[in-house]
Amino acid sequence: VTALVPEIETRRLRLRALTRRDFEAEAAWFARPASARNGGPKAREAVWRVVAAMIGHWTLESVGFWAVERRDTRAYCGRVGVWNPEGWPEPELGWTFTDGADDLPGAEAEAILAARDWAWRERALGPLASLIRPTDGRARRLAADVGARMERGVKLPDAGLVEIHRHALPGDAPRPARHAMHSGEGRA
Amino acid sequence: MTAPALVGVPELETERLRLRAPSEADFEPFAAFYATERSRFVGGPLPRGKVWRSHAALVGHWALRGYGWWSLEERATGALAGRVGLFHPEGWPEPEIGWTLFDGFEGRGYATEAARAALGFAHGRLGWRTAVSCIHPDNARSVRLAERLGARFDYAWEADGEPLHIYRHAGPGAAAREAVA
Repeated sequence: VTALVPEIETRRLRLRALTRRDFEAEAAWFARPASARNGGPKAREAVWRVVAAMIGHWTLESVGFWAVERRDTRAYCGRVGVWNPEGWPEPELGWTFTDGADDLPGAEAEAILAARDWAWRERALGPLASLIRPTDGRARRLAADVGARMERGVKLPDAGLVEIHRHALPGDAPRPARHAMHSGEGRA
Repeated sequence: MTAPALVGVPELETERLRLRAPSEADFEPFAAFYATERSRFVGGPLPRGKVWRSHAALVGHWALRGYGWWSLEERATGALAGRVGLFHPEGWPEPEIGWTLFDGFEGRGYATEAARAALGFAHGRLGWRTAVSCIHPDNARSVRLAERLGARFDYAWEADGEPLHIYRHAGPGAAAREAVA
C-alpha cells in the first residue's frame, strides 16, 4: 500500500514510508509529557488518525510525510514531509520530531533539507512554506537552521495566528552551518 | 500531476459492483455527500477539509491494518455508488464492517451485495472470527440491512458523543450453512 513512497538516505538518516510500528513509536512519544514540545500529550486515537491521514496523503497528493529513522540504530525519530490537505493555504514543509535523534546534532535539519530537496527535484514544489506558531521556539530555530526566513503572519481557521517561514530552494543559499549551536537547547 | 492509485488493495467483483481502492477522484463525490443531511448517521455533515482528512485516513487505514474501505463502483456504468469497508481505527471497539450508499443507489440491494463480499473477504482472506457493524440507532435503513445480513444487536456504544449500536454478524461458515439449509 505504501509502495509509492520513495526512500531517501542522508548521511545519518533514512526517510521511508510510515508503518504501523511507527504509529506505536509515535503514540508512545505522545503519551509522554516531553511531547509538549510537539503540542502533546495526545491520545492514541488522535495520533492514529494523523498517521493514517499522512499515509493517505501520498495517494491523494503524490507527496506526503516520511518516517525518519536513524541509519545506525533504525530507531524512529519522527516524521517530515510536505502537507497539503484540502483547504491548506499552500504546500507546507512540516515536521514532528520525537527525542529519538536528540543525541545526533543537526539530524532534524538533515531530515528537513532532504525532504525539501526531494520535493523540489521530484515534484517541483518550492520554495516551500512552514507554518509555525509564534510561540514555538524550537520550530522557529529549526526553520532558521535550514535557511528559511520569516515572511508574514497569517490567520488559520483551526490554528489561529501562525507565521509563514519561507524556505530556500536547493542550492539557492549556502547550507547554514549553525546546526550544532542549537542542537542541545531545551532538552534537559 | 495525477496521483498514483493506491497499490496493494485487492479488487473484488460482485454481480453488479466492483470494490476497488479509494482514489483521489473519489474525494469530490464524498465531499458532496458529506455536505448533505444524508451523511448525518455517518459523522456528517462535514466541511470539505474534514472530509479530505477522513478520506486520507481511510486510505492510510489500508497501510496500517492491511484492510480498509473500498470504493463501490457500479459495473454497468462505472459510477461511484458509495463505499463499503473493514474499519478498525485505534480506539474503535472492534473491527467493523461498514457501508455508505449515495443518493440514487439505494433500494437495489447494492449495500447487501457489497457487504456480503466484504464480509466474505474478512472471514476468508483475513481470518476474522467475528465482525460487528456500528450503527446509529436512528438509522433504520442500516439496521434493517444489518439484520438482513444476519447480524443481531449486541451492545450500545458511543463515538464522538453520538450513540452507536453494535450489531454482531454471524461468524465464518454461517453463510455456507445457510446455503445448505
